[in-house]
Parts: sequence; structure tokens; C-alpha cells
Amino acid sequence: MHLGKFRELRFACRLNNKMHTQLVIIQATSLCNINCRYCYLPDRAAARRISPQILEQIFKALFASSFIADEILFLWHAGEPLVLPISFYEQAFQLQERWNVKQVHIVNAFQTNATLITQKWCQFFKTHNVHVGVSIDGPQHIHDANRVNRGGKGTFARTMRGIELLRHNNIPYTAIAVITSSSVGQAELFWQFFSELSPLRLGLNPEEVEGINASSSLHTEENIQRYKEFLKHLLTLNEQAARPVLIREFEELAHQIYEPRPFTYMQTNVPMAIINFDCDGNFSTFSPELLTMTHPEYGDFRFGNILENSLEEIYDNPKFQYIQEQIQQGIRECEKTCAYFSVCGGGSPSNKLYENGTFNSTETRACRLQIQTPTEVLLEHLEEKYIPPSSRTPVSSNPVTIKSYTKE
Amino acid sequence: MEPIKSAQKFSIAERIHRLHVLMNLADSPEDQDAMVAREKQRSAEEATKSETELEWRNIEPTRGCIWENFGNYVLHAD
Repeated sequence: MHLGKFRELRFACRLNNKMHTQLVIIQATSLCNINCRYCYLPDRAAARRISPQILEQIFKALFASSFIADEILFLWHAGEPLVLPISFYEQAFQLQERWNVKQVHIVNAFQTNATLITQKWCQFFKTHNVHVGVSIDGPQHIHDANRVNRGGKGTFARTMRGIELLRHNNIPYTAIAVITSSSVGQAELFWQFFSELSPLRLGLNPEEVEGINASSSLHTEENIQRYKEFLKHLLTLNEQAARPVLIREFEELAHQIYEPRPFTYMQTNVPMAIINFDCDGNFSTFSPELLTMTHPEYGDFRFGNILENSLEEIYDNPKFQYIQEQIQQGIRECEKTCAYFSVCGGGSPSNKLYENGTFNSTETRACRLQIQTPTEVLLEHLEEKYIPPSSRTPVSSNPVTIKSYTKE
Repeated sequence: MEPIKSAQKFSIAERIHRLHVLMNLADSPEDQDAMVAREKQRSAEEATKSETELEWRNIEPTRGCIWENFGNYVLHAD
């Protein structure tokens, strides 16, 4: 049987530079025009901006590198991308095209708070086929509890004005909602809101402990249980609806059920699957959040600067090597101890670091909220639907054995 | 069809495999024999793939980071 071999190959691949980059996150500016209470970005009040010289070097190096395959997603984020003028992105996209000598399929996406969207921006999105992701937490009282401007006032009205412009221009968009303890008791209102909004897909980001956000309202046993009930309620409402809200967390798992793979990989713990650039040209990999963070033991998580280093040099960087080894140790421990490893792939390094203090650790509360709870909720939901009661089972506490996956 | 275990604990992977089979059967009940045959063939193929095939097929990350909401995770069931 090949499965033992798989396991070794997997780690060999991670260590031997055989990754293709799927996602490139570019911080065009560190500035955000709003000031969300749970934000992890330390420099969001600083108006730093990437220079054309750095941007050109990023594209030049990326498209010449061995990391790029047939398709690449550029996500403009880590600061509000629409703070910069349209002309900035027109120039950036021209540079992309200039250096895309292998004719890689490029997708550009903006993750935005939508407050600065104008008709001109809509025209730009359409002209350049930009994918738009809007950060919106739900109905006004939920959204405005945390997504506030620098004066402490809610931003819901301005966000909705931006969304209305997208809809008026027939621009499809996805949404990401940060879930806090105030959302989880209001599943019906939350669902109703997003059902009417009809984003292409809704991602649920449970509030995390990361960077300068030192606590999460969801990180108690009681609130993890409430989150589970919240998810169950959303699934039930979806089941009864003619137009369900497509929820990313359930879709990812449903995809694995329809097209199972022996292993799951998480972008955030496979080196160079994501490359993150800050506006000074520093680059990092693994969890995007690491790029802007520092830590007492590790310092910063910049593994090079694109004006001085090639991307391939990252593998010679001693700090990268040390962190990579620590992360892989953590994944191995997850594999040995966690029942959810087959649907997770070993957890997010930034969550491990900020919750457990080390990369070579295992379960976090973020794991429980982002992976374990949605998995349990969806599996229980589908088992009720497809499996006779006599054949159902309580949740297993046993570690996953890979062999059990491929039945002989 | 593969017998369903009962009165035992299932791992997450087993539960997914079980649902994979049952949900595909439910989608096309008239085609159960073909479904079972396909499953057998898939397992057999998996066991004979070369290391290179396995390497590339299995290393591609399938779970995005929490800021990634644009990838192709769309469920293609009706």
C-alpha cells in the first residue's frame, strides 16, 4: 500500500522546494481608513505605500521564479486597498502583464471594507475582471459593534453603499464576516441578512487571537459551543431555503466529501503556497498574518526583501529553515494526535504561535472554531440525512488512521 | 455495496468516506453498480500511481487561508 510512502513524500515535498504558489498577497498600503476593534494589523494608521520600483521587482521575480505554475491569484490586502487611487492599480496591472512572460493566468482580487467604492471603482473592477471580496459582519448592530472608523462610529452605512454600487453594476462579490460572541446568538438575523445580500460565497472568520488583537470573545468553552449551535442553525436555515447562503467552511468540506483525497494541505503551512509582500518589499510565507507581526522569540517573519533577494533564496535563510522545521514538527504532532488531521492538514502556524507560544504545537482554539466545529456540524447534518439512525456513531475521539480512508 | 459499520466509533476520515459513497449513491440511485465499480477502480488506481503522480496530485493545498475566499471550492452537486 502506498499510504506510508505518501506520508514521507509529503514531508519531502515540503522540504524540497516543490511547491507551486497559489496565492500572492500584496500589501499595497499599510493604511486602513477604518479601525476595526479586532484587527490584527499593527500599522493600519500608517500611510506607507508600495513604490512602483518594488512592485515591478515583485512581478519580475515572481514570474521568473519556479514557484509560479499556470495560474496565480493576487490578493490586494493587509491595509485597505481602495485607499490608493485607481491609477495605482492600472499601473500595477500593466506591470503584471509586462512581466508575465509565460502567460500565466492571473486573477486579481481585492479584499475591501467597501466603504470607498465608487462608480469609477466599479468600472475599474469590470474592466479588469477584479474579484471583489467585501468584509461585512452582518446586520448593522452586529457590524457596527466592531467595524468602526477612527472616531468610533460604525461603518455599516458606508459599507452597504459600496455593496449597493456593486449590485447596481452587476459585479459579483464574495463576503467575509468576522464572527464574535455577539453574532453567535443571532443566527437567524445573520442568515437572513446574508440571504438577502446574496454574496457569491460567505466566509466565516471566527475572531482570532493574533498580532495586536490579544483576546477573542469566542475563546471560551461556552462560546465555542454557542458557535456550534450558530453553525447548525445556519445549515438548517439553508436547508429550508430556496436560495441558501453558500458558506465557505461547509463548501470546503463538502468538496472533500465529493472528491476525497488521502491528505489535505493547508495553504498556510505549506511553504511558498502563499507568498506575502509588504509595502516595503519584504516577503514572507505561511500565514499571511505573520508578515506584519513580531514575536519575542522569533523577531519578525520577513524572510527576504525583493530588492535584495530572489524568492528562491528563502530556502537558504536560516530563520526560514528554523521556522519551517518547527512548523513541520507541529504538523507531525497534529497528525499523531488530532482526529481532524485528514480534513485540516495541520493547522495554521500563526494561530499556533499566538495561542500556544510555539509553531511546533498542536490544537488551538482557532482549530476548534475554524476546522473542528464546522466539520462536526456538517458531518452530523449529512449523517442525519443519509445514514439510518442505527448506523450512526458518536463523535470519534480516536486519532485518524490514514489507512481507514482507503477501504480494502 | 460496501457494508456500513455499525455500533462502532468511526474516525472523521471514515465518516467522510462513508458519506462520499452514500451521497454519490443518493445522487444517482439507478446507477449503484456503476458507482461501486467506479469506487473500486479509483481505489485500485490510487494504489498503482507513480510517486511523481502522487507527489504532485497530493501536495496542492486544498484549504485556503482565512483571507482566501476566491478559490475554486464550489460544490458541484445540485
